[in-house]
Amino acid sequence: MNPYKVLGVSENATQEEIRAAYLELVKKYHPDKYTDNPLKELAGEKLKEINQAYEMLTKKQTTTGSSGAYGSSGGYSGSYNSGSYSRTNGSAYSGPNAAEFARARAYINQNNLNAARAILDGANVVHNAEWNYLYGVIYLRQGWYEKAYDCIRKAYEMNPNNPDYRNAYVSLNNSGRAYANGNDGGLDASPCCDICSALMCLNCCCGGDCC
Amino acid sequence: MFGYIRPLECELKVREQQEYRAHYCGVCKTIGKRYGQIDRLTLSYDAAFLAAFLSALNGKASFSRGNCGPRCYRGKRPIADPSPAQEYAADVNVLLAWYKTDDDLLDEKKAASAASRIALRPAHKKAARRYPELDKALHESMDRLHGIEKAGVSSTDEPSDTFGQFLMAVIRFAPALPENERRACEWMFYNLGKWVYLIDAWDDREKDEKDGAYNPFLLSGMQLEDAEFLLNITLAEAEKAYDLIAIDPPSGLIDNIMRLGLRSVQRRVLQQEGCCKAGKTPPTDKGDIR
Repeated sequence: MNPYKVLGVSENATQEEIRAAYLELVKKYHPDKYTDNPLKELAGEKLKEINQAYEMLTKKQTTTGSSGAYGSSGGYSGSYNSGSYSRTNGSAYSGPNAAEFARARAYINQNNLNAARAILDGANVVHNAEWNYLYGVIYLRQGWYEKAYDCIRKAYEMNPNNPDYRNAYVSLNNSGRAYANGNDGGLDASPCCDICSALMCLNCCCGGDCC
Repeated sequence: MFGYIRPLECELKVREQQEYRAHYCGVCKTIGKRYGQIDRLTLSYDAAFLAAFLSALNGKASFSRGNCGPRCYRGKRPIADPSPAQEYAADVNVLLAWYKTDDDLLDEKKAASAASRIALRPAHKKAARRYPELDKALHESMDRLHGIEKAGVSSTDEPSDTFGQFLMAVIRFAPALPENERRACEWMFYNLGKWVYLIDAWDDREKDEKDGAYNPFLLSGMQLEDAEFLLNITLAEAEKAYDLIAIDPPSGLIDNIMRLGLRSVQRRVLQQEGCCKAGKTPPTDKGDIR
């Protein structure tokens, strides 16, 4: 593995540049972004590779201090990298059908959505907040976002204090509104482009070479 | 339903723009060679994207200067050399065009669709012989879509899923697709397909209302804000998958399409600036910058 390539920096990059590139990549592949995504494990592997590359490049330097790895000494490591669908601390579900919901969760972790759905569709399963949440995650992983949003919103409204429901609801809202204030601010509508396209037309008509 | 996947040209570097056009011309020429001159008319931006994407994924594309047959008045320009990626994009283009006429015929029952169907039949037969499994998968997706249309399902999830599966099949059967990129590529194309279906359905609301054709947005009465929300989530997922695909060396062209082009198309369609319909007209290379 070429750590410079993994981080996308040149071989004579300074420690600050390396750290900036590293933080940028951590943000890009952050586990929170891929929580309910079918590609969760791939993102986890990618992050691991980035951590390794960063460690290799920072360990080369004798100085430690501020340029140390993000989080603990082992880079951005630990809790997130495991592929499991673990509960946020202290919020373990203990209501009715706890055993069924735990099994459904396990199936979702293995990306076995049909098996999870079969459990949730069972006759005696209550349709409470947890049920809506798990169904929402199944829909998310299968790419049915309209239904996913409905379910997760319901779960959140039934129990707004549950961190899992809240995180899923917030992250879905963020991703749905992310582009509303896009940074390319209507560039395609700028008058400059009209001039460009006019010139391009002219160029074409005159047998220009560039188009 | 096609022509929404394209770059934001005013943000491309000159070299990237040439690369894009070279792929576009390359696919066009390949269609001509493999199927016949008349089938070149079916060329779509999506096929050019597919060719560019597959070439970038395999890290190799070569170009040589050449003339365009029908546009002989134009000087020589770079054209992508024949390659498996170009050939696959040409085959897929023909299949997409075929299933589009299939869809049009059901929606509109117009003579023009029937005529283009007759014209495309030999090409489709040839392409289906090359990729029988792909053709079968596409056929199944379209059948499922027609069933959903007939049933009048008002949720966007079901119909857009069929089109997501449609594009997923396209990437699944692509030649020389690296095995370790397969899952991310499939998720990316699934979401691209969903997005194309949704943006097209939104774009067609007026027309569908007039024709009494199926449109999930009309049936559910969904408003702009909610539609945009769904489109954003779909694009974000496509982008997340794209982030996990290793393209080496990095391709500014594909980056532009995935991060700027699709968004810009979406913004234009949602704002109804009128030029959104440009997505449907046969592409020209004049003034495409907008």
